[in-house]
Amino acid sequence: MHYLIVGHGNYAIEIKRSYEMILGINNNIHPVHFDATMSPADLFLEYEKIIQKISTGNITVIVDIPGGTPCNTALQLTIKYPQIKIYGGLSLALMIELGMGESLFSAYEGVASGMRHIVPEYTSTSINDNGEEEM
Amino acid sequence: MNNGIEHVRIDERLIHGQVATMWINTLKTSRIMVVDDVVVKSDIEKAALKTAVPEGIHLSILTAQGAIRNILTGKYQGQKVLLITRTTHILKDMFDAGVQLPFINIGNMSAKPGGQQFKKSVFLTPDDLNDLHYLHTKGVKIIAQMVPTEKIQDFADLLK
Repeated sequence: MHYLIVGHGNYAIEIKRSYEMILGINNNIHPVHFDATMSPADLFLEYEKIIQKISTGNITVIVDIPGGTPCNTALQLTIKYPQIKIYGGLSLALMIELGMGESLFSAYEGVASGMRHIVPEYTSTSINDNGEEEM
Repeated sequence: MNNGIEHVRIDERLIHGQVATMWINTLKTSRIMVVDDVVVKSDIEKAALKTAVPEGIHLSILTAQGAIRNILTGKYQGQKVLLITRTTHILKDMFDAGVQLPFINIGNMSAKPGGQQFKKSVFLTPDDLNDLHYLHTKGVKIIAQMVPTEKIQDFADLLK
């Protein structure tokens, strides 16, 4: 599966960079930059450049927020490329779940499970004066 | 009977997020053992390690001496332990104390003064290199592999 990822500004490009810091190079992630100097038509062209570059394999588009220009422009793609699916909620956490082979459905679940107040919960079964602990 | 140590990884970030999860899934690890003489003194660092350990995985946070003692008494026999430490010299000390190491994976060592870069995430100082050469000549296999999906580089390749 190829992922065309896009958000406002450099978001998608930096997500790919951050992703690769954790999981290594992934040539199936294709980020698109979008800024205020670009029209929806410009953005559409950027999408098409990537789609045409990908000769084989399915393409999923992941946008940052539903209803934003990256999303609205991506919806235009589905007229010409009806097989392309568009999903929201682009984030580093989501891309890591996908990079580890999760389906989109379980990737969303994985991301949601991490959206919480992080409180360490544990019980050590042994601790000694040196500070050594085991659980 | 083997001592339970299945994988030895040098990683300055110790247990971090998905990298740990990937290794645990690949190796079917039952326990992570962090060996570090400084971390044991810090409740904050220990709390972070406990938070980073995936559910259901046992955790040991030990000094080098503690790890040597426990391993040599056979405490982890029959387990699948992923040993993680920040430095080469701890592994040298453990080896010299008689702990058998299956191999050493140099995962992540950051840039530092006097360090030379060997791959994207591996910088080694002359002291690190001395330790690794020592262990290598004693027959400990040394490799570099950041994540399980990355190709294994052996020590000789790394030094090229």
